[in-house]
Formats: sequence, C-alpha cells, structure tokens
Amino acid sequence: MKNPQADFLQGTLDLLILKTLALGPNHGWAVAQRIRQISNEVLQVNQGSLYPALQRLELRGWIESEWRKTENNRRARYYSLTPVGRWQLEKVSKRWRRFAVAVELVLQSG
Amino acid sequence: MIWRHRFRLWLRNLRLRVRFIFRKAAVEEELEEELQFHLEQEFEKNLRAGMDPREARRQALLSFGGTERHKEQVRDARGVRPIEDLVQDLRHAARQLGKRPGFAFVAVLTLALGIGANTAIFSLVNSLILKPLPFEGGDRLVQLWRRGEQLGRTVSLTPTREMAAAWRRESQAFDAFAAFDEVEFLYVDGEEPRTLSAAAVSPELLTLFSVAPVVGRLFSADDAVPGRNHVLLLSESLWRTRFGADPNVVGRSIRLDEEPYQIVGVLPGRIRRIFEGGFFATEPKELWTALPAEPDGGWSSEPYVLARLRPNVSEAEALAELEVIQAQLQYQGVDAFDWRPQIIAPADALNADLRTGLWVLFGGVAFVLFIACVNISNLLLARNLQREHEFAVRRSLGAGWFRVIRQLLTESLILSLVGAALGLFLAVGLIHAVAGSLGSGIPELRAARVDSVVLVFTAGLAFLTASVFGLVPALRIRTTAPAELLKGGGRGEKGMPRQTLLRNGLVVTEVALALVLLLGAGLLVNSFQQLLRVDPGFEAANLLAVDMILPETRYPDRVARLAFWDDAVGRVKQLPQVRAVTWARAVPPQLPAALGTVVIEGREELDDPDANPVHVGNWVSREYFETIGLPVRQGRTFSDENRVDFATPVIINRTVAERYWPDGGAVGSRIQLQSPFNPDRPSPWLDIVGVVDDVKAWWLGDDPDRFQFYMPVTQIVRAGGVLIVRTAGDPEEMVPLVQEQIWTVDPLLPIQEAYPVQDRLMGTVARNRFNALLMSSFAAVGLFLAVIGVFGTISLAVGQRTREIGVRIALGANRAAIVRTVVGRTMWATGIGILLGLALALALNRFIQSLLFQVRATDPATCLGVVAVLGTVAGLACVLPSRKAMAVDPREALSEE
Repeated sequence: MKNPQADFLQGTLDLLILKTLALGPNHGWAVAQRIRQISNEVLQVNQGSLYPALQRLELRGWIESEWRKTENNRRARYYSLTPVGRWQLEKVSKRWRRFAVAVELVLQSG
Repeated sequence: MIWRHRFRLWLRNLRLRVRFIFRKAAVEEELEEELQFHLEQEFEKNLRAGMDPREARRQALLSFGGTERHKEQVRDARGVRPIEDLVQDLRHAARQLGKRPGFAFVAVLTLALGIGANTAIFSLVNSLILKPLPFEGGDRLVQLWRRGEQLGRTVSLTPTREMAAAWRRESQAFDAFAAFDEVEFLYVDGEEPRTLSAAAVSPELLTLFSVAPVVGRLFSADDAVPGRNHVLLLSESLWRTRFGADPNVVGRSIRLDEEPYQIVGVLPGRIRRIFEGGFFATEPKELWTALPAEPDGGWSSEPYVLARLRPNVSEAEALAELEVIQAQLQYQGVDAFDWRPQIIAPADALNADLRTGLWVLFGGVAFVLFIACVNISNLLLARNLQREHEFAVRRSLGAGWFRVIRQLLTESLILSLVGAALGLFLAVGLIHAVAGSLGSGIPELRAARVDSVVLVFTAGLAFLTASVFGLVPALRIRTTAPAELLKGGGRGEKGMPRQTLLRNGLVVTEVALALVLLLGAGLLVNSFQQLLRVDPGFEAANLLAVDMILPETRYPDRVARLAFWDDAVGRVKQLPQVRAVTWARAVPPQLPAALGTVVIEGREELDDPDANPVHVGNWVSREYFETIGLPVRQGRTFSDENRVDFATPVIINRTVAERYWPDGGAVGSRIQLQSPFNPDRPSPWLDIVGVVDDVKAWWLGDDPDRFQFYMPVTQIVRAGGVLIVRTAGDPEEMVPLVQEQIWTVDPLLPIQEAYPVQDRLMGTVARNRFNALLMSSFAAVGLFLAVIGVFGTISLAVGQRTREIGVRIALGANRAAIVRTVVGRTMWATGIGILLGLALALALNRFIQSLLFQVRATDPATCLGVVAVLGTVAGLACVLPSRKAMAVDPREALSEE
C-alpha cells in the first residue's frame, strides 16, 4: 500500500504543518496558504493530504484543535502545537536539516 | 516520567477515538464545516484576486478537488476504520440473515446441534482425561502404589505403612502427601439400620482439594491421632436430607458402628464430583472421617496414598527418587518382597476402555460437526449464487473483494456464534443426561462439568466452524468479475462447471464422513449385541442378591455367623414368591479374584504357560449351584458333612477340567493352589468333587479360559456375605419382603445393597451400551445431515439447469436420459464418497478395535450393511429432484429467461 516516497512526503508535510503552527494557532486553510507563501508557491498542499495529516497529528498528540471565531466572526477549527509537538518539531527539523545537508553534499560532489 | 506522559497521551487518544465512534454524527458535521470553511476561504481569496463570483467559485472547487474523497481520507486517518467496518459488517450481516430467516434458522439449529454435542463430549474428555482434578495443583497430584511382577503379570497394591512412611519422610520430589480409604459404617437412622459409604481421609487431603467447609471446620492434624479420630464431616446432601441443613449440627454426636462420632463440619457437594471422577471413581461418599496416621507418618490400614509433585519435578524424576528410597528399604530388610514404587497420574487412573471410548466418541461428534459445516457451506454457496448481483454492485461501488469476503465471513461468524450459544444450552442438557440415565452404570461420567476450559473450547469451536463452512463459499465469489455479472443479468453461467465440481466435492465429503460414522456406530452396536448374546453361564433373570456385613460386635465368630445365615435363609424361604434361597460369599458378576497357579497332584511338574494366572474363586453353600441355575456337569455339589472336616472339597469349572483332564477323571483328583504372595505356603490338597459350567465372573465379555473354583462357605466364614434369592416374579418387588425377614432375625442389621443380579450383569456392559448408544445417535444425525446435503445439491443442480433441460427436451432428448445425467453426477459423487469413507474407516479402525467385542473393525457384514443403507438413502434423496427434472416443461423453462 505505502511506497517509500509517499512516506517521505508525508513526513515532510507533517514537518511543514508543525513548523507553520509553531508560529501560532491557525486553521487548516491558513496552514495551507502559509506553506505556499513561505515556499514561494513551490509547495502546493493538497487538501486531500492536509486534513488527514492534521487528523493524524492530533491523534499523535502533537497538535490539538478547538473551534474559535475568526477575525470575520466565522467559526473555524484552529489547530495549535502541543508541548510534545514542539519537541517533536525540533527533533524532526534537526533530522531534516542533516538530511538536507547530506543531499546538498551529494549533489555538489557531482 | 515518560510513562506518565505516554499514559496521558493514550488516554487523550482513547477519548478522541471514542468520540469518533460514538459521536460520529457530530464529528462528521465538524468535518463538513471545516471543509466548507476551507472552500469559502479559497472562494474569498479568489474574489479578492479580482475574479467574478462564478469564476471564483469554480476555481475554488477545482483546486479543492472531491470533497467526499477528502472526507474519506480524513476518516481513514482517524484510525477507527476497522471498528467502524466491523460494526457496519455486523449490521449488514444481521440484515442479510434477517432477510432469509429460514436459512438462518436451519443453519443456526444445525450448528447448535453440532457444537452442542461437541461441547458435551469435550466436557467429558476435559473433566475425565484432560483435567480430572479441577483445583489448584490438581494436575500435579498423583497416586503412589507398589508394583510387583508375578507370573508375568503386574500386581499393583497400595503401599505398606513402612513404604508410605519412608517415601513421605525422605522424598524431596513431593510437596504434600495425603491418604484416603473407603469405609462403610452401620448407622441406625430412627428404626432402620443403614450402611453409609464413607471415606477416611488424612487431614491433608481436604487441604489439597482446596475445599472449604459449608459449615464447621475441616480436619486438623490432631484429628489424625489414633484414638482421637472419631470426628466426622457430613456430605452436603446427607446434611440437607437427614439433618435439615441445620447449621447447629456441628458439635453433635452420632453413632456409627455403635460408636460415637462427633460432627465437626459439612463438606460442599463439589468434593463428591472429585471423588466420583476418573481418578478415584468411588461410590458417592456420604461422610468423611479422619484417617489415623502412625507416628512415623505412615498409615497402618494401607490406604490409597496421594502425593503432589513439586512444580517443575517430573513424574520420572519423582519415580527415580522413590526407587532409591525403596532400594534402601530393601537393603535394611524392611521390605521383604521385591516391590517397586509406581506413580499413577490422574490420566492413567481412568479405565482405558472408557478413555478410548471417549476419544472415539469425540472423533465421531467432530465428524457430525464437520458434516454440518459442509451442509451449511453448501447452503451458503447456493445463497451466494443468488446474491452475486449484490456483490457485484458492492464491488463496483468500490468495495474490494477482501471487504466483500470479510462481510460474508462476518455473516458466517454470526451464525456460528448464535449456534454455539444455543449449543451450550444443549450441551448442559446432554451432560445432564449423560451423568444420569444415558451413562448409568458408569459413575465416572458424573464428574462431567462445564468449566472455563469448556467455554473457551466452545468459543474456539464457533470461530473454527465459521471459518470451515464460511471460507469456501466466501472465496468462491472472488472469481466472479463484477462488470461481467452486471452485464449478464446475474447469471454467471461461466462459473457453472467449477461450481458443480465444488458441489460434488461437498457431497463426496459428506458421504465419506457419514459412512465412517455409520460404520463406527454399526460396529459398536454389533459388538454390544454380541455381548448381550453371551450366555453368563447361569440364570441371571429373577435372581435377587442381598449384600450384608455382619457387625463384628454381635457376630464375633463362625458359630454366630453361621447361625445368622441359617436363620435368614430359613425365614426367606418361607416367603410365597421365593423359589429357592442360598447364601455365599459373593455372586457373579462380582466374584472374588485370586492370583496364582494350580498344581495337580501327581503332575506337579506340569507348567502350563497358557494358563491364565488370574483365577476366580467363590465360597458357596450347598444349594448355590441349583439356586443360581449353574448346572453340575460331573460329580456332585457339597454335602452337609463338608461343614466341618479336614478333607477340603473343591468344585471346578468345565473349561479347566477339560483342559487338564481331557478324558474325564477330574472328579477324584486333587489340586493345590499356589499364591505368588506366599509361594512357600500353598493351600492344602483339595479334592475335586464336582465340575460345573463356566460363569461370567466379572463381566459379560470375560475371558472363558479362567480357572474357577468353589469351596464350602462354611469353612471360613467371613463377616460379609450375600443372600441369593430365586424369585417367581420381579426380584425388585421382593426387596422389602426379604428385608423384613432379615430384620426379624436381626433388627439392627444394615442391608448393604439389594439388587437384581440381571441388572448388575447388564451394568458390566454399561460402557459398551453408552458407546453404542451415543455413536448411533451421532451417526443418525450425521446420516440425516448428509442426506439433506445430497438432496440439496441435486435439487440445486436440477434447478440451475432447468433451462438446459428444457432446451434438450425441446430438441427431442429422452427425458430419462436427461435425468440420468443430472442425477448421475451426484450418484457418482455418492459412490466416490462411499469408497473414500471406507478407506478412511480402514485407516481409523485401529482406534475402535479395542472397544469391540468379538467383532473385527473390518467386519464385512457391517461394512456391507452400512454401504447399503447409505446408498439407499442417497438414492431416495435423488428421487424428488429427478421427478422435478422429469417434469420440466420446455416452454416454461425457456420463457423464464
């Protein structure tokens, strides 16, 4: 069922979500927007992966959700990082950075 | 720290998941709202970017993709999918089964029958063979015996006091010792003297059994001191029937054998089952007294000795240790005879015939369940055929074939679980019947119980049967491609040949299994009939036996005892319904056994290697032979002068007389009996005065070649004896009259037991009767199910091929030829099933052979009979469907499509 690439991408998406939520609680749409903006429109987050990922992260206890009003007085589900999530983010981003450096080295050596 | 954290996380998770399952509507609503919000944000963003509303909505929807799919993915991420699916499957399954209540009813009933019967037999196997002692450490409890090789036979006896004491003192392999003995007490209850069956137990025994008293206390070590052991525990039933369940009974004193015993407590009914179970197989005990122990730790009455192995000590290790202790005893000269220790585990203690019988019955009942499974499989196949459309629709809606199969298996599981639940009730009833009338004469069966092991077995069986009957039909649907089916209007005619093959395979299986069952039942019934045909050698009908033990206190010697017997015989003889009366030490089928060799005067060197060393002896009065109807073939019976004299007359049986005196001349010869226990002290020379027919001394199937001898009962008069009464009518009715006469001689004499000899004789074949009865019932059910299976298969085959038959008839085919092809296939399958069944029976026959009396497991007559029955019944099952096939109207058949 699962291919390694999907796993890899999923791990990346989780990291991006955590990173985005580290800036402050937000709703799903905003999370997707921010990822897109920060990555200069390079990373497009598909809704089909975003919401399942949010669900998964919540079950893991890394984020939690609550219903709040937006500035426009609309009801929306806001996600926020839990302490475990923050710790996890640090761990994963360190790993990610090491990985990114490694990829960079490989590419440069060519 | 980390654990507390994990636990909190887990708890939070659980809360979330519980909400997912039980507040599903709210969760779904929130999801809908969240996605809607997302869509609106996107729409607003597009508006801000300057799109017109329609384009903004279109773009938003486009970038968003399929809402339903996203929802599905989120639902998957919730991680409660399997549970949701299960709930959905269960609901769907219940609905599906409810749609066809007839099918569900038949399937559940069949399963209840199969699983119930299996549970009942398993509970017998469990409580008699697997776990005969249902208490903590019971599986480590063993009996300790002494064993000696004599005359090529092994003799086992309970250990002597010295042995038991030494084993107990020096052995490290056991962590507890206990002992018990069977005793009988005279108890005068109001006016009527009764004998109470009791066990004298060492105080440790009740602790080992982990029983708690209903009221009062158990025995303490102090109660086992000789002289202080006049203490008593009542059985719960005696306490309820005789003492009105009075809790103040403790401390009261009752007289047993004319001595006072103090009641210290009441034991629960549970202990009866332990005692009556396979390990002890004793008569029901009504009271317990303390067994006095000697200061050295042994027991002078040589009771049964029990010991509990330490955990992790094997039987072999314990035995090796006892061997060493025993060798030391012999070295010290304590043990004169070459006895070896013997360990008997609960499983070994059970009668081998009974054990084999239970296993065979267990096999038989498993076959019944298997046939039931095949039948239900067949029904499911037929049903799935009708539901192919439904499956195709489900699959094209995105359900994987695995999901559809799981759905079908869930339906099967519901069927078998409901069947098992009903079966459990059936099993309890069956166990009750087995412990009662079905198993009369087999006290061991009363130990049967339903415990947690049995419940686990039943649950496991439910799952197993569900997979056995559910898997094949479920897997079958895998091959049908949805698109094709939907196109073809629901008739998967391509699958037909395979379907037929599978069906015929089921018929073959059913017929083969039914044949093995029938053959097993046939052999057991045949064997039982052979036993019933056996001539016991005497006239057992209308013979009443009254067992009595004369109390030592009032009948201290020979003279007093003889006077009693003469008086009793004389009085009973006066009764109008009595034809003849006599007395003896015993009456068949409970004659005393003796072990040894026969030495013939003048032929002392004769050593007959074929001689059966186990003899039968009885001490009888003059009229014994005439009263029980045992013909005297040569010589005479005892005369009155034999009452007291030095010449000791003996009467022997015909088989032995003809073996050693083929030309006659036994009468007048002299013989001597030699016991292996006292090889230096043979009996005096005995004059053979007569030769009588052989009798079945112990059971109807007894070896005919035993040496049977009779001596005058007047020479050595023991305390126990039996009054034998030949009655004109039903001996049972004579019991009160005979009792009355005995009580006029001695109003305080308890009557041990009064019973018709014929009943006792039939009791000796109770196990054979039980096996034959149960196996026949299983075979009947198996045959019935198999016939239904064959009938169903042919009916379906005819039904499915109605169109083909119609076409062929329209084209001018001979109707009979058509029927032959349709029915022929099933008959072929039946034939193959019969052959396979015979082969299977041949492979299994060694298991049943030891249960058969004078019948070979390959008995051709039984085999032929069984094949004929099965063939005929299968043929009859074909009649109705063939008539239906014959009656097919081509016009109707063709217009059906």
